[in-house]
Amino acid sequence: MNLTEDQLSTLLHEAAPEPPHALSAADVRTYLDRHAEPDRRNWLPIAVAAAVVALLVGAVTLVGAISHRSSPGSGPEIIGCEMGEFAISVLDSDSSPYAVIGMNSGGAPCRLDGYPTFAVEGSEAGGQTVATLPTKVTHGLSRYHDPGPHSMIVNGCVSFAVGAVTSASTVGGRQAVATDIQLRIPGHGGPVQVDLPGLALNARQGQPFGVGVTAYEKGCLRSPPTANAGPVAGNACSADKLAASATAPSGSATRPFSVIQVHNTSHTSCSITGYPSIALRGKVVYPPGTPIYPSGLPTGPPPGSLPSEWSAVSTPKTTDLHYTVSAGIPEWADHGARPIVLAPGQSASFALGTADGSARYRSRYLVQSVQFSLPGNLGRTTVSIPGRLFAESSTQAQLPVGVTAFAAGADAGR
Amino acid sequence: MSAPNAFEEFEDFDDFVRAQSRGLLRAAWLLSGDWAAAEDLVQTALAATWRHWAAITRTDAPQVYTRRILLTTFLSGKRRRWSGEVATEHPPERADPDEFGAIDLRSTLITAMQSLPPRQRAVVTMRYFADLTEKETAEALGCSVGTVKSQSSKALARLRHSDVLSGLVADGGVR
Repeated sequence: MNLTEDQLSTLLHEAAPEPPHALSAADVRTYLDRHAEPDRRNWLPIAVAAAVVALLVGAVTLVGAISHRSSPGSGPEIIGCEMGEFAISVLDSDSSPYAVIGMNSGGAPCRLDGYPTFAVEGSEAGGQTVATLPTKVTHGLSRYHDPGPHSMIVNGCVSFAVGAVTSASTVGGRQAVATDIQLRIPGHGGPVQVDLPGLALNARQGQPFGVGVTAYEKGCLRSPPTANAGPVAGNACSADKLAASATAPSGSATRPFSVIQVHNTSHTSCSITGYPSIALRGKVVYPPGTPIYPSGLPTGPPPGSLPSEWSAVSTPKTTDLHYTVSAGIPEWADHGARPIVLAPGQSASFALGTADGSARYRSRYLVQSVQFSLPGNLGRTTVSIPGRLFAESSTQAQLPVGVTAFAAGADAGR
Repeated sequence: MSAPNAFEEFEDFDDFVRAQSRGLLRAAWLLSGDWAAAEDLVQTALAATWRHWAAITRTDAPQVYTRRILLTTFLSGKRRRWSGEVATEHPPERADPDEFGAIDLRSTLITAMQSLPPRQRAVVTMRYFADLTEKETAEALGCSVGTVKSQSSKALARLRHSDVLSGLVADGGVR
């Protein structure tokens, strides 16, 4: 390859993305306030900055006592954050029994403190109904750093972790899968539903489920698990716990589909909620020589989303053969994202469907294998498709592909 | 990161951060490969700049000082951390389906960049992203011009043999 200096420069300028948010001088001072060791030679500016912050806190408290919002012209308006100011998403669930939730504020700086307040919703084992679960919420998590309660001025992203607090012995006890939390800021809005990627909870009989939460922290970062973190019963299924296989295509002549089954080969229960992200592997039959994307996985739907709410386009180049993944296929009962718990030895499945059988196809692709990523991005697995599963398009080079959510059992949706 | 401009003046620190932070963050992203680490690097550099603001603006262009701190911090691996966290690969912003092409390009580029040793990555970022001259890059890195030349040459050679970049150039994605 003859990569010139000009080409490299162009590439770097094109590819380096715009940052999610710009930093302000206030961010820097807050950072200094929290983390920097005071420079004894230049302590005065920091002292001044701290005094300014202290004055602001006092002003906000005073103003807040009079009215919720500062009146115009009353100086800097740093007020309590409203729930509606945040775009909220699950940053990470990893394979640990907690989820990290990010709250991105795009508005003016606002004040937030303490621990999140929420109710937990989910379904108890054996039940299909999602309802508010009886919980006992404690502050702190053994596997996630808790900064402790503190007040902060938010101008960007804040995060916290919520996770299961497992009782020492839950043999014969209650089990549930938390599907969402109803998050609110007391006096400042909510609740807002935040979907969780199937958080497994345990409790003794007659006791509420233990849930831990960390305090709000600036930045959407993830704390590392503790070094001695061992396997935890009931966590989200990761690829290394599952064996996968696929069936030969079935269904109608024009709407074939394969069923991809996963089998829990570990010694602990784990949960799956939602749709896989998929990438097709195979070869282009027609037009010969046409490249196909992707080289990576398209984005899957967020956990808990309705099938109609999402689709993922796989290609960055419209001239190439590509495919669009959407939720659901006609011959399969897709119930959407529902939490399922796989005990050791149990199976779950999803279906992958295509369109075939058109005599006037403009593009045809033989799907030889599928690479899929578990909900929550907990690892990727590739399985071969036995037989011949074709994907066709008669009108354009975009192949329609359908995928269903994971369901309990090896053949649950047929 | 904008090209250095010795004549660029800033009213105050707020103005400086407003003008420079996006460029610094993008450069830091090329160095570190993720936004969390990039923000950490830039915050560290800006915090140092703020602490010495009065002295810097008397004797030096603040962007030169900040860039030097950014690179030194990156190369020493001593940036301050937010309680020792590691970055998540899932940003909070929602994905835009139209962004797949850009994401693919970024992913390819950052894979290639991460294959370079840190010092070569720093040289590439300063020379070909920040558009610094060899002399300015040497000053920013605290090394000789000869070292910049040799590091730059080695980095380019390595990138030319990179499988991940070859597809981009061969496809005509880069002119």
